Amino acid sequence: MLLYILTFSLAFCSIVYELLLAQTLSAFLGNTVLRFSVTIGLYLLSMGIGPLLMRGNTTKNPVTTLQKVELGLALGGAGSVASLFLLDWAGMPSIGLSIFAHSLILGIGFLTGLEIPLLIEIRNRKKKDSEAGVLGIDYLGAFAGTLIFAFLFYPKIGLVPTSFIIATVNSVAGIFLIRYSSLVARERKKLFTGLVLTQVVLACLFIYGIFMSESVNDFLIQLYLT
Amino acid sequence: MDDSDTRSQRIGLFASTFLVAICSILYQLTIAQTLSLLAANTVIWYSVTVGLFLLGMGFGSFLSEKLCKINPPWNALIYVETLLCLVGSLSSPLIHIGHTVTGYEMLSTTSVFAVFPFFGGAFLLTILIGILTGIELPLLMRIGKSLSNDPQITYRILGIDYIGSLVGAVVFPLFLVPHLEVITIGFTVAVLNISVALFLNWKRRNKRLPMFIRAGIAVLLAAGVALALLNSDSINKYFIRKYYYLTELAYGGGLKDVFTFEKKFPDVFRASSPYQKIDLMEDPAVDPSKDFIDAYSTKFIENPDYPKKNILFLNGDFQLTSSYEEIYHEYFAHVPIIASGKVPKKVLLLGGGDGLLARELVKYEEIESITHVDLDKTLVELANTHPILSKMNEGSFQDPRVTTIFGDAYQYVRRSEEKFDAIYIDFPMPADYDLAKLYSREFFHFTRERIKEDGYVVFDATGTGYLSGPDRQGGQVVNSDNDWPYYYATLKAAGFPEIQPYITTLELDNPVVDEILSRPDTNLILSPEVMQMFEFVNTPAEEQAVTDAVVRLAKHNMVADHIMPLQQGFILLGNMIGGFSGEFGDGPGVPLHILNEKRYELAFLVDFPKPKEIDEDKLNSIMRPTFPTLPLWQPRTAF
Repeated sequence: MLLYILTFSLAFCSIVYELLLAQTLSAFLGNTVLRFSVTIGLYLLSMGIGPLLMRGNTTKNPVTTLQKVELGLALGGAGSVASLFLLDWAGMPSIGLSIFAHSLILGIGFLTGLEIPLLIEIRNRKKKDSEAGVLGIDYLGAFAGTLIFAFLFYPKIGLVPTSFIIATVNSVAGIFLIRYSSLVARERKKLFTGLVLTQVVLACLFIYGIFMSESVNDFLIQLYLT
Repeated sequence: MDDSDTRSQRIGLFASTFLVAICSILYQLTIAQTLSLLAANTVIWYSVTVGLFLLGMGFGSFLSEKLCKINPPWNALIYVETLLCLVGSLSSPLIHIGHTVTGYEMLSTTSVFAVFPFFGGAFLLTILIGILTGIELPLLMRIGKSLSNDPQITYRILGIDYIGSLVGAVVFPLFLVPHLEVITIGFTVAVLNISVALFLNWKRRNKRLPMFIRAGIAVLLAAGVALALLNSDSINKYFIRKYYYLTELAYGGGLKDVFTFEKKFPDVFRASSPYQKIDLMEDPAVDPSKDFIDAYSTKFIENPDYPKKNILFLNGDFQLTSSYEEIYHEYFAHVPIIASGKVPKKVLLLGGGDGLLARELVKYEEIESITHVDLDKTLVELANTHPILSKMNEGSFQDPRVTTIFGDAYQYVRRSEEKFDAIYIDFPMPADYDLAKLYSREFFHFTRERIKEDGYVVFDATGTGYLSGPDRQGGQVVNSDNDWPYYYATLKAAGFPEIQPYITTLELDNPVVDEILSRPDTNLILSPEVMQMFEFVNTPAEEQAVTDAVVRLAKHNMVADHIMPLQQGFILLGNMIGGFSGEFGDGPGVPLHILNEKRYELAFLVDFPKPKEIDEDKLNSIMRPTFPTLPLWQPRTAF
């Protein structure tokens, strides 16, 4: 059950990150429809690269690897909106911004692509089962993500608070991976504990960010307008 | 099985995976595009269909396991592909039919169920496509496992599936939408899809079910889809006519009559660009408003050859009608010049690709340059070359003072260093998050930086023309569904010290209106709120006041009925408080058809509330859009 909840929230977060990036990028470069299509396309492509590169040693330690992936996603996702505004303010030309944003999209997509096989692997170790269940829940999470982004996050909450909310969900999901610590190899226990603690610190930071998002929003807008 | 056979089977499997992934995403995008053409707010409908598609895929992958127990995966896959081809090719036409049924129902009822054939049908089709796609992927994986001992084969198939989706997602907006109608795209994809099914049939010729039945169905379907593709031009035309002539088709008839082919209506001219569908149609209705138009405008009296009843639509949304577009364009162009007291020298025109606003501006000899920024090259080219459009705009873009830059206006005002005396903004209404950006605090902030100290910005503020009917004193106030508070909060946050709205109001005391109102057969249809006013009447003076108000309302409604954009709101912006107090005087000194001293005064008469505090909840920002304010569950209709 927990694995399904994790799968759901991770799929939810990933698609929202991508939509956040697409929307922010369109503020800098214009042409929203193209931005959205290219973003969704690159996202799917990089998600495809993840599983294609899967080799035996990547799936040897699925829990630790998944924890690293979550850490990357939490950091990359939380910083996505703000970093674009900061780079723009620092005078980066639009081609640079474009390259940066698309690398972020590819990076987030790549990490998301790793998630599904890792989750399937964890599930297989707990009990032998097919990939259909995890895959199904993954789709459900993405479904929820697109709808909530279009109806709630973008028009009602805004880009900046959304980035913090999603990063928090991601970090908390990482903390819950502790349930599978029995699957972590002995020599990796220390590393895993360290990763979980980092997630706890990050989660606290992101929650603080949610409360401060109005000032962050105003700050970024001031940078953007000058 | 020897190695080379397995190898070729695997290549066949990978190729099929790649192709069916492209097909599935294209079906989904076709539905999304059909929905956003037939209901406003593209971003929402794209998101909803992507979401529903994914939901269906999730459900499908659960179903897939059950299906595999019944069928060997190859056979199941063939059925799924055949079904996908059928549903995929029919989805766009079915959504169009749903839209027509809903549109017909909405002419007679306000029930929320009226929208079901359209939205419900589209959503069900999306989920169905999603389910079939969801069944597909695990089937492919299972087949892969049976062909290879490589433990990574499932991930490989997943990877190829994602790459196929990328190709579909990129090809659709860049190559398919600008060149093909959505219905045609659906048929094209179905042909590709059924080819894969035929290929699979051929590959698995020795399975249980007699081959001739399986293959026979697929061949029949392939023939059907190919036939539909060849005829897609007339199918498209059929649905375009349903969209534009729905009211006429439904008039006095049942639902059956709406779908019967009607030859008496002229074809709609359509041009496609990467950004929009540009439609030009001739209104088939007998024009009852000729008296009205001649009473209010001298255009047809002075220029009888000017095209009548030609209506321009962008993405199915009404833009202008040649019958009375001058009400809109003359107020738009000339009121700011009169109010600011001088003619600008250097003008920036954002949007307005039809060339009609430019037609008004080039009348001024004092204007030295007009920089025109427009996204859509196709529209501007049509404005220059189309026989009717070019007659309407009098070739204004050919004026040597006009320089057109093709690009995003938002990026232009943000990046440009130039300063202008006047900026005219003529965009489609903010019916979409994408267009909402062009009405954001950030956009207006950059626009403000592009004007000189004594310059002005003016734009067409859709949704600020919603006013209450005349009250007892004959005055009008802002309605509760008026969008003014959104514009005001946004513009104040953008830093404009002077925000001056005005309305294209025509006077009601006009001899022609009086004459028609005095005819015995004129019906005074009174709204309940007007009838309520009579309940509080105590004195003869009060009764007189109420009667006057009722007569004014009747006149107002009559003019509104005959001249649609009777009250269109504009907002004039400047850097100087009180900078817009110019008197009409002798007028702007260029030929006008509509605007006069009386109407100029009326334009500023409505009192718009201007609170000191900025209402943050209403502020439209790129970080959080508050537009569109329109109801979401509203199918698009032509009129």
